[in-house]
Amino acid sequence: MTAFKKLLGILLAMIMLFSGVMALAEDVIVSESGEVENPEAIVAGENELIFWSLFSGGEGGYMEGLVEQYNATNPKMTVRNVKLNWGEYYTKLMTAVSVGKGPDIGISHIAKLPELYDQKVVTPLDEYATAMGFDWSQVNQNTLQAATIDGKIYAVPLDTHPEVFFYNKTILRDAGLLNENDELVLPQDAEEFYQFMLDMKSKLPEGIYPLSFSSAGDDPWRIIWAMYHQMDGAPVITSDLEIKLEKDKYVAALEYLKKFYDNGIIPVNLEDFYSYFMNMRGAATFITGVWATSSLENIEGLEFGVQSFPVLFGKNAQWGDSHTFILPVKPDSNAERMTEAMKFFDFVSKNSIVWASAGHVVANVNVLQSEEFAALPYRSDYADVANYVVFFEPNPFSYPIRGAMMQQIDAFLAGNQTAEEAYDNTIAEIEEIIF
Amino acid sequence: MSAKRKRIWRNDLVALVFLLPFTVLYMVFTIYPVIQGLYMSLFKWGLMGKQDFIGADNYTRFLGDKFFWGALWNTTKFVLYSTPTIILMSLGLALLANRRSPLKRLYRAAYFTPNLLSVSVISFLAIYILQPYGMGFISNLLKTLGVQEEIFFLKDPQLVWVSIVGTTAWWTCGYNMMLYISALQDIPDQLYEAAAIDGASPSKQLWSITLPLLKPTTLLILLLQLIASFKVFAQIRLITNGGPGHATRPLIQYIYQAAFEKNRLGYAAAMSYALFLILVVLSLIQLKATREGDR
Repeated sequence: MTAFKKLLGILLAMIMLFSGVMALAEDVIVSESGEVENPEAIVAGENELIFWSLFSGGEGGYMEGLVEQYNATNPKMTVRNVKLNWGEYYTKLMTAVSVGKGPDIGISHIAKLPELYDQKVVTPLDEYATAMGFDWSQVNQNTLQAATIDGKIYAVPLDTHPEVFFYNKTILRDAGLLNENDELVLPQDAEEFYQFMLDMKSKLPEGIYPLSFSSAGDDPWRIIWAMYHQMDGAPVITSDLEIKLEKDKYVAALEYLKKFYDNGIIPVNLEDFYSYFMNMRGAATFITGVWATSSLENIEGLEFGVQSFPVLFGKNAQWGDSHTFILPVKPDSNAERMTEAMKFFDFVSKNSIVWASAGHVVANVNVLQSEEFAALPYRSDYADVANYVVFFEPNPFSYPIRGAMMQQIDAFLAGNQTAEEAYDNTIAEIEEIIF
Repeated sequence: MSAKRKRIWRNDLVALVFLLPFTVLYMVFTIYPVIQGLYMSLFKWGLMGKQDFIGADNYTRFLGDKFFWGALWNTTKFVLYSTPTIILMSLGLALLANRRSPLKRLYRAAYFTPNLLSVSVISFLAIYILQPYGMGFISNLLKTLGVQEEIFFLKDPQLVWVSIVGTTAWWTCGYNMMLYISALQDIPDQLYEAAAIDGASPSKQLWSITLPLLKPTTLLILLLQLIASFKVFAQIRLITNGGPGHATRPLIQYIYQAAFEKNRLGYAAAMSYALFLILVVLSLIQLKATREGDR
């Protein structure tokens, strides 16, 4: 072997060794939209709390603002906001916690909380809340109830985000459907509402649909959920894992919704139903979550109104979920860090007027009753919906059950099975999930 | 120690050093997970780790799980639809790209290019192309041509398979085409010349010379394709997410959902072994077939 070859060999070996060492000190990868792809690579400083959030777009900006506001108050420990992709959030949170690399602060939907509890991902807050004097009466008691498992509180409710009814004022005014106050009044009865939408169809110009709505995924499931509970349906599943979904009511809700597609009120199989309303020439009305409010406000030339999803079947019941703050289990954390985190929760709750700007109904009752909240356009039009939201009874399977219900609704709305089959398959799937 | 023995010993050592990196990685990332998976399949196992020992319960459970069989049937459907499609398309393209033509290189490059794209890219292309209401390429094209009817490629239980299989075939047949082209070039020209002199028409030549001589290649592609198709997941997850309903949910997606949506890692591991068994059988057939082909 010549000296040159030996030298080359040593050089190569050194390069390999060096790159191996470099790979251990992992770089943080941030996507174009500002989401961190490997959040576990961000290590907290001594006086820093890592916060993994799932908010993107408009919401993300408001949360970022709240974190900056908090850090500007010179707290003992600052909060570092790490944005994650929402679709991957829970998988990443749960796997990171399982290997002891989770964040100090996390977000959970209220429906997901029992699962996180069941998988031992969340820490009870009571001790740290007492340590910093957190006043539990400042948050919505309905949601707080849902955050309490086996007598301990596991989450600080931040908001409620229900599904609401948006409408394009310009289109409806031209069709002569707004009242003297320039508002749309929806009939609060199933048959009347259906006739009203059919009538709207005949009054709208050619090519404009009365309602822009999805045929798949979350949204149809949400209003099926609302309508089923408006019929006073029993809980889909109880906390003791007893399936109580009532066939006649569920089938009635499914068939009622299907009529809207079959009779040209909603375009069938619309994929991007947001754009279809937002382009101002696809549809006159639109049903989705309150988070769309801030996006709609930013559309130039769009004049819109918003109201609660109508009560069609007697009892006022709505779909909604809540964002809550949680303390994920973290082996190297301590009481001091967790108490500091509670201070952050307290600050955000008290200042959640900022969060209301994102469209949410905030959980802090003082903020909700404040003049500033009342002064926000649109938000007050649906603030009371939060009181009628029906949550899952706490159980560790809410998310997969919701997924199963959605898939069966999708197949039903696509015309591939009857409502009865959709019900039977839903039950079969739930049984398979909870075994 | 004689000089010769010393040299052999040295050779072995060198070989070992070269093999070591692969062996270590193979043990850590393939063999260990296989054994760990078997171990996990005997437990109720959540995301945070082992819960209870339940023996073969996970195995008996999936045998009676109609959603498992539904998903396995969807995977099988995909195999049955995609394998012949891909083989015929690759063969057709190879015959086209192998003709004497000044554009030969362009054909090959054009047919092979999709193969270089990642699964997410081809999936989003498919979604874009198939969107209804003038938002997708096909719908837009039909609108321009004056067709008012909407086609819901991703909602109809038959068309959705056409969409998925079509996308997959477009994406993967370039590679198989290359295999066919190299086999085509191995066929000696004299055979065609002799056949031409004897008055055989081009189609006669195709049936009597080309296709019979491509048989070993076809067999190879068939088996590779069967194995690859049984592992289908990513493009379906991205294009339809198993929908409408569960009409296209393949077995791997069901396993994925059991593990990461329902936190049943033990059950997911047990179901993985069903797929493992299928793949082992196919691989053994492949090994046997290629060995016979070599003989």
